[in-house]
Amino acid sequence: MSRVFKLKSSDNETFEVEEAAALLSETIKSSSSTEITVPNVKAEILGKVVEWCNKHAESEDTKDQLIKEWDAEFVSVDQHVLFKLITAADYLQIKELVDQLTQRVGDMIKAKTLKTVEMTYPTFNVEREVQEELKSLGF
Amino acid sequence: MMVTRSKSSGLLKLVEERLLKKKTEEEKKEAQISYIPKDCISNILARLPADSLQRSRFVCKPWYNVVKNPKFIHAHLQRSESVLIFLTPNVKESLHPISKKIKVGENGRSYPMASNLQEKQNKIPVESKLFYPNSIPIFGHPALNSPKNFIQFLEFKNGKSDIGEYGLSCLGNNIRATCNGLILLDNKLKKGGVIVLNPVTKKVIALPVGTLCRLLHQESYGFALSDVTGEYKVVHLFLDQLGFAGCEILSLNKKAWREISGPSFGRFGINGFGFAPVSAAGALHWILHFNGSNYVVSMEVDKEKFHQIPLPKSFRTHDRIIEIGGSLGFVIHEDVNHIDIWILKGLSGEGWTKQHSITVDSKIDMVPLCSLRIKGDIIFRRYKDGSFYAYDFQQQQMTEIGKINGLPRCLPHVNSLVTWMQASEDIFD
Repeated sequence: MSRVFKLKSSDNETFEVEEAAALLSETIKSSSSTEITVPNVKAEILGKVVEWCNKHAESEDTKDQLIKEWDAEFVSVDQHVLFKLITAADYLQIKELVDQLTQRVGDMIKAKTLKTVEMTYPTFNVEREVQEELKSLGF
Repeated sequence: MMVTRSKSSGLLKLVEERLLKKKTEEEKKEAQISYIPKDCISNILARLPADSLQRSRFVCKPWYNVVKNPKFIHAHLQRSESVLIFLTPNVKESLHPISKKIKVGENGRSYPMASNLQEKQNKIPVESKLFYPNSIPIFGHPALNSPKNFIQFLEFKNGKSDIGEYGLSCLGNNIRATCNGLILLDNKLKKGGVIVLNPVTKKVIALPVGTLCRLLHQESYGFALSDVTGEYKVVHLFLDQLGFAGCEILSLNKKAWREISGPSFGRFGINGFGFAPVSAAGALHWILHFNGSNYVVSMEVDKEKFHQIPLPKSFRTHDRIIEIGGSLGFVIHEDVNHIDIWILKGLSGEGWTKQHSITVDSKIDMVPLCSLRIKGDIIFRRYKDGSFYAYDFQQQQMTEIGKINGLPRCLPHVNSLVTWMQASEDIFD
């Protein structure tokens, strides 16, 4: 009979989690009680984390294509939800989830910096700007 | 009177509305700004490619502090994939009279201005950073106005190769050696000198001139990190007219050449050095002669001691030694569709083991260039047409992944933020 863990969010909502899913979290693993309060994490976010744990507890094989697609969907959320998920996953020390979330943030930053590249180039282009000015003046 | 009052009350209302709007905006913003735990920031930034990381330094103070930390730079280096770095000559500017543009100089005289066909992005000459380390020259230095070579790299992702840019040009024709993201270039402004450059951070330093060599192939530079002392060493191996080898070493901490006893096992002949040395297993390895060579000259980076290690088979034209998974590998063409990979077990006579045989789709002119440090594939280039191939060990498949025109000399490289400066010196330019 597997144990059932109770996770309590900062707004006092309790989530019941099966042992297999709960033990994905190092914090829970090393905790002596089965009732853990997660500070600073609201129910909405904690619910999503629990959902991820449940999904990953069912299928052992993380290389499965379906799981990968599900994971990709899972991390395509708004920036502020993403950051809150990272805080929660970090507190609960769920390495795989933290890795997936941080990879997503990394990819978002990568996509952003490509745009800002166009903005940084003018600083190196002083000579060309001078030439273009002269061109526009008719030289 | 009435008019003014309604005006002022109208104005007051406007101000109130504005304040309220501002307050709700701020509240919305606060709800959106969540804080990420500090170690997660390192986790996120470590996943960025080196060029994005370079830009992310300037986002805010916490990010700047994370990125400049040598431990972070090292961790990022460990997870970065290998690329090939090479020089592309600048296509000669067209001096056709119609396309000639006129530039007006300071004194009002007009000068012809060659239209640089390849100038889609402005390239910074590496040498200009030697003159003006902290600023960007506006009119440039006359010797540097026509870039000679562009520095580029080839990366391998998702089964294909892509050319990446650094936005740098240089006068030198050779990349002499590479190590952990730093490269060694000829210093054309100082005869016989070399410069150390990190093409991602654009930090550059000119090294003092060492022993001068008359001919190019009679000297070779190696670049390696000492595991014990953590310092970067530049090794200069050179042959004199009689074929005897001398050696001098410069540590990037101390920036002075010191002579060490060169390899003492006889003459190396006048053919000299064919390729840049390979850095593997804590040592630098040279192969002398192109054809028929029977041994490798290795120098332990820490002990600065030379060894002569016999090869398992004779070295022939398209064979090469490369670094594979930290060890020295010898990739040899045995026959048509048969390439063997031998790994050196140690520097003190332990010998070689034949680790793998490639028996699919291998052509006799496929020259092994490097192995990908994360993925493990070996990258080959065909001498015939410059096409690139990747050999996947798991799938045991040889796949064509791209082509570059011409056969520029490519060296294995990794894009990183590594610097030779001490942690206390500020790397913020």
